[in-house]
Amino acid sequence: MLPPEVLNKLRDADWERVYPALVAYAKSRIWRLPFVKGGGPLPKGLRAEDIAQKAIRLVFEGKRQWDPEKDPDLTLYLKTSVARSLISNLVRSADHRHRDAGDAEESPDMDGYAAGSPDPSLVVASDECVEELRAIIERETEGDDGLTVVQMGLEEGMPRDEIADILSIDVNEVYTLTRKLRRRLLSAMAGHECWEDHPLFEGSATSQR
Amino acid sequence: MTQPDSDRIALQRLFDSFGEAAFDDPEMAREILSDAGLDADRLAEEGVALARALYSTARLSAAAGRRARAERTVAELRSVVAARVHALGDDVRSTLARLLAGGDEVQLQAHFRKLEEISEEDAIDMLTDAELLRVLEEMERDDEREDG
Repeated sequence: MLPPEVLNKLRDADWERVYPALVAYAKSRIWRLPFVKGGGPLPKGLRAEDIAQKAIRLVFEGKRQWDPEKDPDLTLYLKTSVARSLISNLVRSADHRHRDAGDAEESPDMDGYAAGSPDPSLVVASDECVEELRAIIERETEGDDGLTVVQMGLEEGMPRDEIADILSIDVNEVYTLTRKLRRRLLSAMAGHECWEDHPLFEGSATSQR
Repeated sequence: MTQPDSDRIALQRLFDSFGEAAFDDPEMAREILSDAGLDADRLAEEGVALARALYSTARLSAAAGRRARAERTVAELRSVVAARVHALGDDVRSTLARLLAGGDEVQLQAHFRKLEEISEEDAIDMLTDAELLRVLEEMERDDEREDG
């Protein structure tokens, strides 16, 4: 059972902002392009909203014990200590099912989820596709110092305020450049045979940009 | 040419960073959601409703927990009182009536009338938590008088 002061902090959190951000984060992980072993999308049939709701429910029920003294930023806690591990477990379970192709077993972590057929995009990206993506990144950032520094910084895992310092710009502009970089890359990747089966490019929203 | 692992890790990090940015940049969250055919405003409302429902459930659960703890405490108190009243060896109902009355003759008659209608076995079970405490206090006073 949660201490009343923790419950009150949960009640007062900015859910209008946190919940959509959690869903977006989960969605981006579902769409993950599997470049490395152990990466990859979540089991088919599982919605980003399911993950976000489960993460929040676990904290409210005290099954993941949020300590505001230790982790004052609830959003960061939800992302790093709840949603990320929830997603990692699900990716592992999807990967496991992929290896046992055809098995229809219950997910160990999400109630009511039944496994579908193995996802073709679970296969780790081929060297050709990685090379193609490198070429796309080079082409799309060429001649734009801001985009190049943001892309290199993000690949290095650099915090955005450090990237802002290097470019001598406000951190909000780094976010603007990050969005621009994402849009450009997704637009250039759309329609390419490497990603034609990927759920990210099934809709028209991105490919029409 | 085989791509080195470090390059693959860097690409994974780049694409993961887009989703990570959703927490600090509502516009990024909006774009990702829009690509998924999801309405950020609708999700914002759902988030508030979800948190409200979970908060109410947690409050109810906490209240139920407090009630269960209180009931356990009263049951323990009842068993202590029962053991001590039985140890006195007299008629349970007379003992209880005397202890509840606390020396007041009118109260003693009233309690005795009330208790004589029920069996000796039920007498302690029928006491409220306040009456249990009163009986215990009176027994402690008796002990002090005997010691003094």
